[in-house]
Amino acid sequence: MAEMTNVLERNDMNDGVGGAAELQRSFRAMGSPVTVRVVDPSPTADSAVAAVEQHFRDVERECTRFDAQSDLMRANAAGTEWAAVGPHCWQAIRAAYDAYCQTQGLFDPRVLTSLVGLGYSAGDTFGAGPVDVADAQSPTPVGTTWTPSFDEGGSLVRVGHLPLDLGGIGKGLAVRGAREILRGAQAGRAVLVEAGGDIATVGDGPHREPGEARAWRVAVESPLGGSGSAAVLDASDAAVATSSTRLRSWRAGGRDVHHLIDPSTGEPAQGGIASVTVIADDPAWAEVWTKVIFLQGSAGAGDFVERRGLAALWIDVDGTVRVSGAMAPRVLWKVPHVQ
Amino acid sequence: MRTRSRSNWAALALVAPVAAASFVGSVVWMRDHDPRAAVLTLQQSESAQQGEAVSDPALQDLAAQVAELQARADKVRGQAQGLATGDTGQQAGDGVISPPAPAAEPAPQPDAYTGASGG
Repeated sequence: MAEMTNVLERNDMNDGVGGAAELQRSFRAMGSPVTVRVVDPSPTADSAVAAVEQHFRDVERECTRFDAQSDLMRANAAGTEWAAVGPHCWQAIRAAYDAYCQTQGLFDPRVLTSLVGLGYSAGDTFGAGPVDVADAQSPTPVGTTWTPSFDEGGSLVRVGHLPLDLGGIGKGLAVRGAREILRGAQAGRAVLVEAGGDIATVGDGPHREPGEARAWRVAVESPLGGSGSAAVLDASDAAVATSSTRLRSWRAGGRDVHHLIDPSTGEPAQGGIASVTVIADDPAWAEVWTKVIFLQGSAGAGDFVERRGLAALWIDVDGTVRVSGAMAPRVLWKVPHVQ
Repeated sequence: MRTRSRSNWAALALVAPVAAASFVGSVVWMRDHDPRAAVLTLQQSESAQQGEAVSDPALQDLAAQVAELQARADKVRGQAQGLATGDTGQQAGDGVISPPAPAAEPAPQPDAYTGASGG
């Protein structure tokens, strides 16, 4: 069942630095708070922001795994048979397949069975205290090559034998679409869309005090429970995503588990990393790379990101904060360790 | 009986490393054990102590080399300090040197956050 709208805050227009106007809207979608900021809004800003909110609702309705009647879950149920899906779902599965191909299977959305088997079966599983699931099913490694089918018209898919979870790319795709709406509408001089830590921006940020450099500043939170930030990044004209075990960790079958599943084993990835943050041009790809880098573990992440020129920051389970060469120019502030 | 050149060589072998260390303020081995360079170093050190300007081109070239060694020594001292505090700016295994933030500097106020609720 899609979440009811819960409007947390409506500051339509407020005065930024020097009296400059900024439009801010907040709502909840896809299990996360969503914030839209438009600096120096144009006359089209209000309608563009409303379109963004509707866009998130549409993506959630079609792509959520927490509603048995969603387009995704009906396609999952159809398995190797053709299923009719809406445009957002078709595009999301197609984007997931592209990511699967381009990462040689390191990104693989066929992890739904493993997630449910570990007890992550509802959208509101987390947030109300520790979760402890008594029974855990055996892991389900994907084991086979994924070969979905897509029609030319963009309305039919065959997902294959194993059901899909689009949680590893869906929010990034939604943020991508939101940024495109705002940019296409020329909503303002600069915009920021943020959904549960997945962020996309246009422009160089809000107005600052004289002498302050302009940039969209994004803080990377500690995955280890501390209140301090690990770094502040320049995310101007870019997208940021983070995969972290901080929120979605629980106990299942008497052991500690989390939601970042290694497709090759069906088990939560183990490698000594607590969180990965990536800056990229595209929000969906930023999200994909966070998952893939997480799988490399602390021993392999450095070589992996440098060979591909990825802008990444990752934090080991011992709190060590590391950045790649491509990320270094975007680091405005950083600490070597977090708690 | 020792010849003059042999006694010079012996003296230089003792003086050269000491002169270099005293001039740059840290223990840095000179790459080329050039007796003439060692002599020039000693002369420059003595001249500097006496307040004399160094005008000899060879000495000027040597001064440039010493400046480079000074910079290297500063870098070594910085890295040693970082090792003591746990932050070298270079994390083992990723081959990247990232500029560490001074611990006393507060973080700039962010516009958004990523990480705690990351999926």
